[in-house]
Amino acid sequence: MTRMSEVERSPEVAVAAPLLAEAVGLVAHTPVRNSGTVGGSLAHADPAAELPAVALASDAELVATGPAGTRRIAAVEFLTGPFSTALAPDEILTEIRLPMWAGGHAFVEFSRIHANFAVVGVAALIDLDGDRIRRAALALTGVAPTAIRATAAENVLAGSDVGDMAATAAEAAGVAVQGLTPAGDLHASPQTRLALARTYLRRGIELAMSRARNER
Amino acid sequence: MTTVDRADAAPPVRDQSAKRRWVGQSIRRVEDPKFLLGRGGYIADRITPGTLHAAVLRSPHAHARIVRIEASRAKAAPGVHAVITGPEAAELCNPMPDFGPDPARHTWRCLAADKVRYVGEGVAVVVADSRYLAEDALELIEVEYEPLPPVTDPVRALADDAPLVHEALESNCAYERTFDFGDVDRDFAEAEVIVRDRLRWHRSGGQPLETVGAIAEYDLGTGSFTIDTNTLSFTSYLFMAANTLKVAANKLDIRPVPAGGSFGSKLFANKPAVIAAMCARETGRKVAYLEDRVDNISNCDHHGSDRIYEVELAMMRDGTMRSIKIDVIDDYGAYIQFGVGHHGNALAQVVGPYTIGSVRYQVQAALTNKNQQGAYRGFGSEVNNWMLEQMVDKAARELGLDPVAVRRKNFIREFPHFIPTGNVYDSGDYDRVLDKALELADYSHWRTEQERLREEEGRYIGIGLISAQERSVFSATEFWFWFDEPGAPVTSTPESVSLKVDATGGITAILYSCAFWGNSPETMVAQFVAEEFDCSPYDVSIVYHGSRDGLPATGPGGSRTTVMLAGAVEGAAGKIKAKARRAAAHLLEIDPDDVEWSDGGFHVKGDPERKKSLAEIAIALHLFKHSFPADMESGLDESKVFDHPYTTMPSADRKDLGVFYPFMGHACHVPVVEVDIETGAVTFLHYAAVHDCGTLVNPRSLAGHIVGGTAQGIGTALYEEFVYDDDGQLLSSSFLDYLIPTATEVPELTIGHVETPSPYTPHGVKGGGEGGRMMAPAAINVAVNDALYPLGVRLTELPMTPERILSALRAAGPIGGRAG
Amino acid sequence: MTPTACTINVTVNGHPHVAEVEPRRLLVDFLREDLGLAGTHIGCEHGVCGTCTVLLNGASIRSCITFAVQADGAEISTVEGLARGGEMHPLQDEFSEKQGLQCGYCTPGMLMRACEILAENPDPTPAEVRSAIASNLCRCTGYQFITEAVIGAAARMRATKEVAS
Repeated sequence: MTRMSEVERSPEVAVAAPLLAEAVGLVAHTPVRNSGTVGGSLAHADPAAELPAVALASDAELVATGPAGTRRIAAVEFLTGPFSTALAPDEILTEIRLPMWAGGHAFVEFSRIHANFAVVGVAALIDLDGDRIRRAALALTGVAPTAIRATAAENVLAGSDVGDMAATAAEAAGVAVQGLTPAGDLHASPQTRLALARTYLRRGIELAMSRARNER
Repeated sequence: MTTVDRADAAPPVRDQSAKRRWVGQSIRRVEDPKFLLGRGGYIADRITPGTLHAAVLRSPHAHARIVRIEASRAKAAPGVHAVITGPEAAELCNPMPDFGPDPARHTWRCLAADKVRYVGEGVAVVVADSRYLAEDALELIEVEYEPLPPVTDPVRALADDAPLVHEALESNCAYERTFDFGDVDRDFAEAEVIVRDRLRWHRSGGQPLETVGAIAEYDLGTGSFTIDTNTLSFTSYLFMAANTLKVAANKLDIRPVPAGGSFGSKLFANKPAVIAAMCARETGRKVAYLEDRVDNISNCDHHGSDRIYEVELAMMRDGTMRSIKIDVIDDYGAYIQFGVGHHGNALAQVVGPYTIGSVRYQVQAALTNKNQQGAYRGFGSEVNNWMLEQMVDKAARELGLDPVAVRRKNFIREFPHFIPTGNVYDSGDYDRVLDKALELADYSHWRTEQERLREEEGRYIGIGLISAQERSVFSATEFWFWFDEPGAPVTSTPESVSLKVDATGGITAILYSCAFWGNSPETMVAQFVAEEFDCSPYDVSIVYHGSRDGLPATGPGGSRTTVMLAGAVEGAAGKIKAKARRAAAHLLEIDPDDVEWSDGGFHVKGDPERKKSLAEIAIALHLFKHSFPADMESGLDESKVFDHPYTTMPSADRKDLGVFYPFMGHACHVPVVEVDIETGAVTFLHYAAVHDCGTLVNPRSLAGHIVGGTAQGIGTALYEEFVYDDDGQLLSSSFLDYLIPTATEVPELTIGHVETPSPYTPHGVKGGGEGGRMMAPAAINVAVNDALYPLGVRLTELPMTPERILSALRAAGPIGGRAG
Repeated sequence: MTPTACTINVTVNGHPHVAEVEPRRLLVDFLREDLGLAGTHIGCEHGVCGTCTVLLNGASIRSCITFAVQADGAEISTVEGLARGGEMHPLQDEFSEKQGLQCGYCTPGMLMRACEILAENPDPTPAEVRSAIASNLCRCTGYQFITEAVIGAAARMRATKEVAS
């Protein structure tokens, strides 16, 4: 029952889970964040929502509690479809466990007006080892029935040199959208959604990379 | 061209040089304290205990025959007092008031009776103890529909084999005609360049934050209705609403309450009032019907223009504009309550501020399976402004001329000026407005910046300069000059005010057709009264009178309120002063010709000390009858029915439509935008707006309208659209999908005012309530096209969504060196 | 069909209330109809527009998508509580002075949101105000004079605080 605005203001979250802090700040606006909870957003599993992507990119564990006891569910298994999760009807989400991430982070999204649902969103985590990317984690919203990990793009990034950030990011973004078949709606056709996803992946990766550099 | 005798028809030219004390001051609005305290008294705030609540069941189909409606389970549900189905309502009520071309052949009812014609059309109403219980019962009504093929595309609707929205009409074309004003063929033959384009304006709407609502009561003892509602207009026509309710007009009292915004969308919006009244008579109880948001978005009868243009602009190579051919299809939706009056608005200023010599205007009104058009800030003239400015901009590009110079070259500079349609532009100074706009916009700076940012940073900046007209104070003729033999060629659109001076000298002003809409009728009237009587505007009391036993009045719409109230106040004040003069002279024992008004009273000419204040005169007139000659009545109150000050009749051949929108404002908007070519997002870097609405009454209030209207224009240009899919489903049925700009989408405006008084109105005032929205869509479209010009992209469709911008960029082909 | 009523204890503008409400009753209907505080308005009914904004324990919420039972034990502030002793709150007075309203319908929600904004940041920039009030729609003003009014009220409230301390 942690309200999003509590997370948004928490100095501890800002240090320990800056990706979550950044993403929460993009969820609608303050009055919604004053009411909405982090767990509620995850359990609702809107394919356009920010927090499922944060959970995915962060390899979060979600703790479900029901009459049969408590179990831990990996984020990737938690999200089963649009507005559906691995929670049983008699279970509720009671805890979210996010591993610490040492490197840079970014949550960027495109929405048509302030506080509206994002057309696409990107969670990016980049960890550097000198001038090379040691580890990258990427998750996307708005391009599939659930938030998804962009594993192929992570593999492109892992081990690559950050000397030419723009080219690296662009290549990974191109790989990430390959094979995606998003549905269109009145705000964006499939083609536009892919183009936006690619642009925001590139921007998100670049931002996470530059933050990772600056944090060293 | 057939011309009506123009010079004789003009009203007398006024001397507007007088010094004014209150007119022109940005005083605080007298309306505001109650709203700030949370005591606004809007319609929903007036529901008293025991009032029943109505809720309407809406059609899920765009087009379907109603085979059967079974409401017995709903009638038996807890707290339910009545269920009225569409077929039952058709027995209880006549069709809705309709100014359309052939109402009997496209009958519009408060609830659909035989078939539904758009998603959201009402099919039944439940009356229950609470809204909660009424909505519970809606789910128990069973409606069997026989779905029919829908038609949602206006061009498709006009095809011979299209499904018919109204079988009785035998066509989906509700109106079609071509008008020629001036010698179009000659002008085109003489032109050196013809600039052509196809332009598409999709529908949006006012969407005020408060929906339409009504609380109705039926008195069985007197057989009369009392309806409180947030819409009251055209009181002279309310016999039509009475006819719908099958009651004599003098048994219907519609009383206005403050409206939480309208922007046109509460103009003559009688359907909720009719539904509430019908339910009140059936239940014998007070009934409230308040639209919810989905009701309002899908079923408000006030969607805006939805047009496809084919335009040809005839030019000379030096930039001179000669003539224009406009061919427009307008998608009116399932009904056509105001006819094609929206195109009358367009014809009032069809040539913009330019000396275009002739006009051909072809209009086709298509009926489709959508909610019908009504009024939205601009009433169709804003679309004409957009169309014309896109053409002018395209012409400048094609001729390789500077867009500022082309506009300036064609400016009208002599006034009064009659345009080819016959309407008059009373006054103006378009050069001054343009000069001021260029200065406030820092135009040359941004032209340099534009170049630099594109070359150095690869950013696409656009500057959108437009100059366009802002007509005000409509005449009734624009609703019927479409027909050779109009059914109701009415000419009255008056506004009335009564002024009552009580025994202490306190002044009460009574308004007759004004539901407060967010405009400032009280402040305007208070400032005019204060100007007349040298009192404080805050000492003037304002009363909104209901429709019964009132005076004829029209209410807000077409930017008419301020001008018309000014005339009515002036007329009533003149009568008050005439009586007060005689009374004062009598009390001062001097001839009435030897007293004059100054500083709140009459004094003897040349002897300011011998004076009677208005309060002294008033108390004498109220209480001391025997101090006056026998023919002077007690009291001091007068009324003025102020008729439209400048209307002339159209010619029989309709080659001259006469004067029907004479007080012509003007504006120049200069937005500077940046287009993100990767995302299609448009952001504002600067925005300057200069308006000339004649003499200003309250500059800050007008500035508020300019900013607010511009914000709506930004919505029209970039965000807002009622999207129907091919099946006629309304995809944007909530504010999550119908996108209204927030504070971060609207930039801070740099506002300038120019004041060119009208020669014909009190104080020289022109209307200004719609100007922002009449300019912004045109200006932003020009700005976006200016930004994308180097990429060979030109947007011709509003709103310019990311989807449309990215599609256009994709169609233009790959852009060198641009990363994905 | 008729759900069981629940008892709630709510303090509204400093006044305690004990009430029986249906679980499905919306907070905005409870305030408007049960308590007669009609200053809080209903606009879009799905939490977007913000006309129904009230403060719950000092935090802005949408009362049209909040159940009355969720306010059990809470302190609610509405527009009716702003003016004290016949004096308008500086925000109300500045909205009047700057004409930060036209139809007035969004105004109560906007005022309550502005209270929260200034409680968090007594000295915001115009850009910060714009960003913060973007939670609430206004269809009339284009937000410019609302922004000016909030900035003006902030200055007055800071000055009052300095005098008081």
